Amino acid sequence: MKDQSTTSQASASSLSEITQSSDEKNTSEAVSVTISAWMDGDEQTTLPSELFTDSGHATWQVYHLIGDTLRTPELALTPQADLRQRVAQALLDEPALSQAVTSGAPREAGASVLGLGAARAKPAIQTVTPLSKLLRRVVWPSLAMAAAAAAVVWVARPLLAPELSAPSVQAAKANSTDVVASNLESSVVRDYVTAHRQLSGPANVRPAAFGASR
Amino acid sequence: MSERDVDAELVARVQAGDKQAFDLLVLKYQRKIMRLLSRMIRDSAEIEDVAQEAFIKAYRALPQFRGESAFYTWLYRIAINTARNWLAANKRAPSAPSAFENEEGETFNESDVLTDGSNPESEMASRQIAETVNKAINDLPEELRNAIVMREIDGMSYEDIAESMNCPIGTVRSRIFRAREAIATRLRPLLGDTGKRRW
Repeated sequence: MKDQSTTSQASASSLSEITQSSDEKNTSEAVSVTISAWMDGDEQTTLPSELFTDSGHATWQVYHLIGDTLRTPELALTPQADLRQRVAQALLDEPALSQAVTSGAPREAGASVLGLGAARAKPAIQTVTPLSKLLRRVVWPSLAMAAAAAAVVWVARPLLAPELSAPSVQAAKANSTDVVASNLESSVVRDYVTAHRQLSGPANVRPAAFGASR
Repeated sequence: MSERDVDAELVARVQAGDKQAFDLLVLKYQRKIMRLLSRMIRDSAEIEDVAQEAFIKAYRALPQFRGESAFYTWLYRIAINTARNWLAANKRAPSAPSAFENEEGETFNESDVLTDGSNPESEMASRQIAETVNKAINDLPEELRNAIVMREIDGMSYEDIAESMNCPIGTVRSRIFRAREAIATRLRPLLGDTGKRRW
């Protein structure tokens, strides 16, 4: 009787273990299916939290190793678990990037990812909306061309309208002549020019520099 | 959704302060980066040091990453610059830039190899992995093999594979998973992985 009871207890325990093992296997398989689909960008799959466990890392790593090896046999390399640990260790002292993000320019990515739930988080990459496309392709180039044309007109205006600019040029010419004349009359300058001519000869003193040709 | 979108999601999580998401990017790209660096640096321990530095630099620079290029392209540039700086700092002969300007690390021409950090053991392990994957894929039932090839080699989306195989997306998801698991089951002993999962 006791033997029978022990046997039935053992079989019940064994059945329980089998059921538990079966449940674990199903869970494990379901998680692996999700990881497999998510890494392929399957729209209907959300990022599984189990991916951030050691088992998730191992699955992620071996699935990527398979893909890399199929595409490029050169990449059939033994995974370096140590490298990930070293990087993670080195980053322990680093501040989380969200602090840098929030202290700098506002970013859409941070906010959208914090709400990661049923749907995929909005990636940080710039999304090209029709408005931004229009701005980039039409509005900004047009503004740039208009600015360039305005700059050309501004520079060329005195040349294009001589009747407007002539008196001022003549006045400037007269003023410069007066300045040269008054400079030449200055005794200090006259002495300097004379001394210079004595040293270097008259040919080396360019008259134009003093407006002598005018 | 493409692989680039998956990376973008992980990058966004890191940018939002989730350091664990960066682990996944390291695990995903470490082989490519190590392989890339092995073209420039001979010693495997030094390759690991430079790879670690490159990943840390990438982490620090992530707030500036705007996603104009793919994450790997951006990471690749950081790795190249880190290796060049390391070579200069250690007064090693710089490698010919033309050998490294390729955007994808795995597309190097073998004739351009200047240094190679591999050793006989790692070469043997690599060969074993490649042979195991090839054998496992040849042993797969046809529908699983076609599904994984369309996904991994042709880069097709689940929708396109479903259309091509004339089956629901759920079936594609299941076939690709079963193919991966069949290959992974053979690979795990080579990687020292028992395959026991604790979720």
